Amino acid sequence: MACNHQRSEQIADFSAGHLRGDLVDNLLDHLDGCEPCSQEFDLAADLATLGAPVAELRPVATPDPVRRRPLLRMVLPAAAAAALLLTIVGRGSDPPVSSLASLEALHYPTSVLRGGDDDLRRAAMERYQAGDFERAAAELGALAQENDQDALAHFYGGLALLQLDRMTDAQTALTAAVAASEGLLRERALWYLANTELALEQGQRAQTTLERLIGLDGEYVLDARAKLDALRPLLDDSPE
Amino acid sequence: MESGHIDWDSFFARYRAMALRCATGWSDRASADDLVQEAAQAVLERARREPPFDSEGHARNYFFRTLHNRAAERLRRPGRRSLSLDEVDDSVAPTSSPWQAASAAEDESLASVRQSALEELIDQLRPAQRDAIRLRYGEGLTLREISERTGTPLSTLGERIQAGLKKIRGKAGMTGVTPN
Repeated sequence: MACNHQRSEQIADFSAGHLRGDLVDNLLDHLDGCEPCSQEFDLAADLATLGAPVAELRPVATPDPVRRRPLLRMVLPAAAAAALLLTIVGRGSDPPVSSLASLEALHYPTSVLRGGDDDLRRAAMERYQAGDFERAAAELGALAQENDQDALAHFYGGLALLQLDRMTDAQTALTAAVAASEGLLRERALWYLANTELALEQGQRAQTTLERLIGLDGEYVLDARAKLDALRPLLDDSPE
Repeated sequence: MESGHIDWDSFFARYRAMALRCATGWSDRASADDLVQEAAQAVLERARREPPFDSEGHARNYFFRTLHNRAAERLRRPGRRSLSLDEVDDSVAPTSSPWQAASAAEDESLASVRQSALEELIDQLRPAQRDAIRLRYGEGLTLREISERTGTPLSTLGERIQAGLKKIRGKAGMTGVTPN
């Protein structure tokens, strides 16, 4: 047993690769002199080998369709717009690392999802993982139509549509995901929605979406601020 | 944790998954394998020098500190080339990479025995505890992410994980399946 709850949480975060900076050094220094925490650290190391292999936990991401698209062709001189857009899209289109890892783990553990729609959703997401975005989008769309409050179906359906470059449909799905979700899922839905709106050259909408995301003050706040800062000069010159 | 001789196959088998996750979090996935390999080489080189590691815990902390420092260096100098095995002193370098050596010996290693025993212990937990522990440690999710997936309040998750860990530790202590 770790010497206190906070240390136990730090060890778990460390084992998942979520601990950063000075906290890492601080924990390792602490392990030198604390046998209970040292034992818990080793137990965490053993437990870390029980999950899916790391290669499965963090698969090579499928190409980000938002990044692939020529984005936001505002009424700026082409070269200036290209430079700025590269900043907006390239710098900020990846979510924070920890979120990206979870997003990429598009499978849901069988121990968590049982029966009913969960089976259908899991099957659809397995199609997504396999690169069958057409069927994934269709099946997730059907789930979302059946239950308008199924935030996961809206969200992952939106991602599948993004992969298919069906940007307007993706926008609709992600908008529904934002409305139906809360917490981290809502943040992610807002993030992808903002990127989709940028891809659709809807700068004002993207600004509003990013401001909503910043207002949540969650994991995406820094990325959203950076993207918004890069977007604002374009909006100032845009007739939109 | 015992001092003296360190079974490096068991050592690397035990910490490999955690190290790869850390390296991925501290840098990026493309660099993670190289970083872990570099840290593994560094700990083996250090093990040849005096004074030796006084315990496996000492070696473990050295390994993860090195990994963390190398990841930070790589962020500062993104063009830095990784060390190839050919460049490591032959007297220090194993015949294959530490991971390959660990993998080859895995079936007979202490780590493998520990792993199987741990699987059994986890299977004996209540399903809610087992699921929470697998998601937190096995899949490396945050409590918040688990909460969103399962709909379980954060406080309940924390209690389940702590209760599950306590049971594992208790049974492991009785059966000696997780020796340190």
